Formats: sequence, C-alpha cells, structure tokens
Amino acid sequence: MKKLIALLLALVMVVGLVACGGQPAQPADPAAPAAPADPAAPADPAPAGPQTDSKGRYPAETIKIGFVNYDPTAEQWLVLESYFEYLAEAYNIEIMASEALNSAEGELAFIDACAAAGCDAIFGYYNVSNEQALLKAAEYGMYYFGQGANKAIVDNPEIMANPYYLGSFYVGNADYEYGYGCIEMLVEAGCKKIAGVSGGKNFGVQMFIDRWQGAMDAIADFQAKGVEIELVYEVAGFPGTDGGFEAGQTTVLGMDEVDGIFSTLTALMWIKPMQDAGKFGQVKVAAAGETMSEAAIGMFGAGFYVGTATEIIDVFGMGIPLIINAVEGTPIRNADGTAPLIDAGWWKVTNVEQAGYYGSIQGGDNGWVFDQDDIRELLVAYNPDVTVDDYKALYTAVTAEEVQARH
Amino acid sequence: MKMLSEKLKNYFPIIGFALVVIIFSILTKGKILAVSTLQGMLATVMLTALVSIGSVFVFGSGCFDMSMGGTLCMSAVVGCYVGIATGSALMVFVGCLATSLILNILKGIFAAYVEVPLFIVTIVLGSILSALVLVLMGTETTIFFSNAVKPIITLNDTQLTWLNLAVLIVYFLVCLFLFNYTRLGREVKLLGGNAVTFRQTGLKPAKVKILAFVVAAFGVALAAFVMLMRTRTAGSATGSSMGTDVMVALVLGGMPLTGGPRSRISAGLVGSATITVLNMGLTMMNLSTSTIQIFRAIVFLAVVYVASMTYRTKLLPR
Repeated sequence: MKKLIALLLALVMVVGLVACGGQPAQPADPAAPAAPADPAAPADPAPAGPQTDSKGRYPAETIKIGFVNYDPTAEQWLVLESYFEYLAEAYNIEIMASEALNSAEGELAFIDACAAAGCDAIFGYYNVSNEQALLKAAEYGMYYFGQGANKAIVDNPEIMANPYYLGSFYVGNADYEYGYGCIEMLVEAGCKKIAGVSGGKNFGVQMFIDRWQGAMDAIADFQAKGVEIELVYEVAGFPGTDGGFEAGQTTVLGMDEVDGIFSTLTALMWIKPMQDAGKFGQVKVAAAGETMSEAAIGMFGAGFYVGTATEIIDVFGMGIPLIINAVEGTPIRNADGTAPLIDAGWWKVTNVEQAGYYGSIQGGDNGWVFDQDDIRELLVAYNPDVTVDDYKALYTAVTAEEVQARH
Repeated sequence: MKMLSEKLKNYFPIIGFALVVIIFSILTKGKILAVSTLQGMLATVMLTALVSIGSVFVFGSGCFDMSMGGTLCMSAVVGCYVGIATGSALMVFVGCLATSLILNILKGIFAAYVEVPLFIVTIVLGSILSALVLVLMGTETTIFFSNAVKPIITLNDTQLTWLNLAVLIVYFLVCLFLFNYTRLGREVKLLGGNAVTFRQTGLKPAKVKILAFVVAAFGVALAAFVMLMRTRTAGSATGSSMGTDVMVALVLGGMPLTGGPRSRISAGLVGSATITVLNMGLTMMNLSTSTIQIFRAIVFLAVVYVASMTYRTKLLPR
C-alpha cells in the first residue's frame, strides 16, 4: 500500500508538472516592458495629482520588492532596513527580504518565491549568479535594480538594454579611492610602518582588490615623493572564518614598529586585541567602507580611527524611486534607452565631529541623507521632468553643507 | 483499532506533506499552487530529492554521510570547469558524474574497511572538499558557463522543467526498483537493521556499502548537472546547505537516519517536497527572517516527532 502511495505521489507530481510544462510563464518581450505608459499621455488624466492609498502613500497599489540579502544581521542591512521603513511611511512599498543567500541556486529560488508572492521588482543588493538573476526576474515580469559594480551586468550591452533592468548606483573608482584615501589619512597621522588588512583580496573579490590596489599605489606615490611609509605586514581574510586572521592580528600587534593599520573592511575587530596588547590609541587605524555606526563614531573619539572612507547607506535607496517609476509605467532611462548607472558620493571622515554628523544622518537625530522629500523629486508622478541627471545631481550632493542646504 | 492506528502512522509523512500544502494554500490564498510557483518549486525539489533519494541507500545501510554538500559542490565545480573547457553539456554531466563517483567510492571504501565512525570521516571529508574547491578555483569566487570556449546550450524554463521531470522520474523509478525488488535493496536494509546479523549470515557488508554509495553518486551527479543547467554557475557556496537539507528531508519523509528495514525511497521525495513547500510558503508570507526560523523550527520538530512515531518503538535494541 505504501509503495502504491509513493508511486501515486510521483504520478501526481508528474501530472502537475506536465501541466507546468504545458503552461510556461510567459517571458516578457524585452522590447516591450510590462504596460509601459507614456508619461506625456497618462492613461487616466482625470484625478488631480498622483493617486495614493488610504494612508496617503504613493502609489495607490502596494509595490512589493524582493530584496536579495547576504547577511540579515549585517550592520549595513539593518540601517538600510530602517531607511526602507522610513520611506514606506510616505511611499506604498513593501520589502520582502531574503534570508542569508550565498549560492546561485538559493538566489534563483528566492526570485521564484518573490514572483510567487507577487513582487514587482527585485532589489539586487547581493548577487551570485550574475545576469541569471536579472534574466530570471525579467522572465517573471519583475524589474531588477542593483549591481552597478558587477561587470558581467554593466559591461553587457544586451543586459543594459533590457527594459527590466533599471540600472544601479555607480561609485565609479570609489573602492580604489577608498584605499588611496586611507593611506593619505594614515600619512597625515604620522604613520610610517603600517599593516594592511586585505579582506577578500586573495579570494578574488573585486571590491577588496580595488581597495588594496588603491592603498598600494598611494604608498608607492608617497615613497616616490620621499615620504617615509611602508607596508610591513598583510593580514588576509576575515575574522572568524579560520584562525589565520586572528593569528595575523597577534603578529601585527607584536611588531613594535607597526604604528598604523589600513583595513579594506571595518576595523572594529581590532579594538579588543589592541586593548589586550596595550596598544589601543597608539596604533592608528584607517578603514575603507566603514559604516558610520555609534561604535565607529565612538572610535573616532577614542583615538582609534584617524579616518574612514565611508559608504552612504541610503544611496542604495535610489532603487526605490527607480522601481516605483518603472512599475507605474514611467521608467527612468538614459537618452539611448539603456539602464542608467547613477553616480553616487561617499564620505571621507577624518574627525569625531564629522563622524558624529554623518552618523546622525544615517537614521540618527538628523534623519537621512536623502529624505522623503528628496525622493519625491525623483518620482515622475510628482516631477514629470525628472531625468537621470537629476538622480546624479542628488546622489552626488552628499557633503555636510549640501545635505544641510537641502533639509 | 490498534492496527488502524499503526497503519495510519505509516502515512504520517504523506499526511504531514498534505497538511503543509493545505495550510500554505490557505495562508497564501492559493498562490503557492499557481503554475509558475509549482514550476519554480520543482527546481528546488529536484536538487534535494535527487540527492535524498540516492542517500536512502547510504543511510539505509547504516552509513551516516555528512559530506553530501561538499560532494555536490565539488561535482558542480568540476562539471562547470569541464563545461567551460569543452562547451559541451554532455561533458558537463560526465565531469559531474566522474567526480561524484570517485568521491562516493572513496567514501564507500572508508565505510567498508576503515574502523572509524563514518560520520567523523565524512565531516572531515566535507571540510577537505571545501578547501579543495577553494584551491581549484584559485582567485575566482564563482565560475560561469558564459566563459566557455563555445556557448553551452541554454534551456528555457519549459525545457528545464521537462529535463528536471525526466531526470527525477527515471532516477526515482530506478532507485525504487533497486531498493524494493533487488538483492541490493534487501541487503541494504538488512545491513542497516543489524550489521552483526548481516555478517553472521555470510553476506559481505563492504560490497553493499560501496554499491550504496555508487547509487547515491548518480543522484549527486544528476543534481549537480540540473543545477548547473539552471544557474549556469558554480562556486564554493554551491550546495552548501544540501547536507542538512537531505537529512531533514529524509526525516520529514519518515525515514530513520539509522537506516534499516524501515528505510523507504519515497522518504526522499516526500521529505524534499515538504521542506520545499515549507520554505516557499514561509518566504511568500514575507515574515521576518527570525520569525521564519522560529516557525520552521517548530514545524520541523512537530513533523519529526509525528514521523518518528512510525519507527521509534519498533526496532529491537542493537
């Protein structure tokens, strides 16, 4: 009887799946995105102003967005999640975040789940399968935002022309500049013998390779100018993944000549070892890609950090107006119809006052770098003339003065 | 009445699966049964089911393999490299199969001749395989079919569905036949049930263990192949959760991980389908990550408890 049931089960699957095979999801015609509307001739011109939901949020229909996440406990995601919640007070969006994804099959399965849940777009915060994720989303008629640094996507003309790809923010050579800038900050602090933390450089992760290269070029440039600066030790990898990183930390802190540390990732994991070695505040630290968290701000005050090259987390949020515009039928594209890569700024933080202010506009006392009103100006429904250039102008205006002038 | 109750217990895994489907059909307002959703779920069911079905032979013979994820990853990476070098989908499969066969025969030999608990050997092997994949890939984090010397055939969703279906049905039926109607299947169950009795009857456990791993190798190779044809990429994280998924699927499917006469091929299929519907349903409900994990743990515990009622009191002490 059990065998019969097992066979019947298999048969039910076969029948069900044959039905699936007979009725495949209709792939979108790349030349014709879902229900594009002519911004110059709205389908329903009768209502005055954009239509909102019962809470006054635009648009009237909730836009569901699948968010491909790498680590749901990461500081950057937690801040970004707060930013999305803030935006959702004014805009009718719902974020469906994945669990930790690190494999292509997991990423594609999540996109399947998003389609099943009725998502309108995928936010490619993380990506393992390159263009496959984007094409899978497009097959389901979902837009895809993100991956501006992913060469398999941005260097592929067909992908850039795909109407379901909405583009991304683009930090250009920022990772290289982060690394270069960190060495400048260490030199300004008087460091001469430094250790470097190379993160994922040896695993081939481009971001870390670029940051490391920037630092090495800066050292070479300073040496050419006669400035005494030298890399004396490289700590590879990440804390916790194996014993190598911690052993490297012990080695560095045992080297009397080391007076500075450059890190291609957050350097907060050095606090305790430095305290244990009695070198806290003596060895200066500069880190690339640090988030302006309370801990990081505190470390500026404590004399641990002499500088950080800091990512602005709500830059990621530009995906929201791009997605809303596209779903509402008025996508923002380059003049040639391709997906835009929108320039975005970053912060070079060198003192506790700067750190405190920038931290306060990452969801702190002073809100956000790009608030709800800024985002409203990027929505075609509120600003029919908005272009890619308007996005670029906003997202590169990130200095304290520029942010204060806007708000 | 008691007999009816006993008979009913045998169907708990299937009842559990049906309950999960019904509950999530209600909670997702039927979206989980949409054609496109079923199609997406098939791809996920496939991977776990192929590896799980083959693993029934391994676990059924009393071997506890903790390196299935590592074997799948290595097979996929080697298959992907072979594909990149040749541009041939057939060669991709050959690469996957050769790798999984070599690794599984190695595991079978360890299980047969080395007097060390196999789960320890396979835990170590899993770590070694992960390290080997990193060494093999050098500075690459992910490798892609798009870098192949010539384009590797691309399958659309419908073609992938048919491929998945054909592979799953053929492998399931072959394993069903081998497990239920051949000497190998009977010996696997006897060996898992009581190894001492097995030896005392004059049978050779080494041969059975190695053959069990060989059958499982085909499942791993097929899973690696269909996964590559879908994702067109492989990396060090490929199949990383497969080891756990397979064990959970087998338990959800009503099979004791200690093996023996109550092992069943259908456990791989039913368990894989249950876990996939559960994961898909929870994701579709857009619960927070922590809520999903708590909910999933509760469901697993409940289903495993109910499923375990089918076998926990029925074996003599060994």
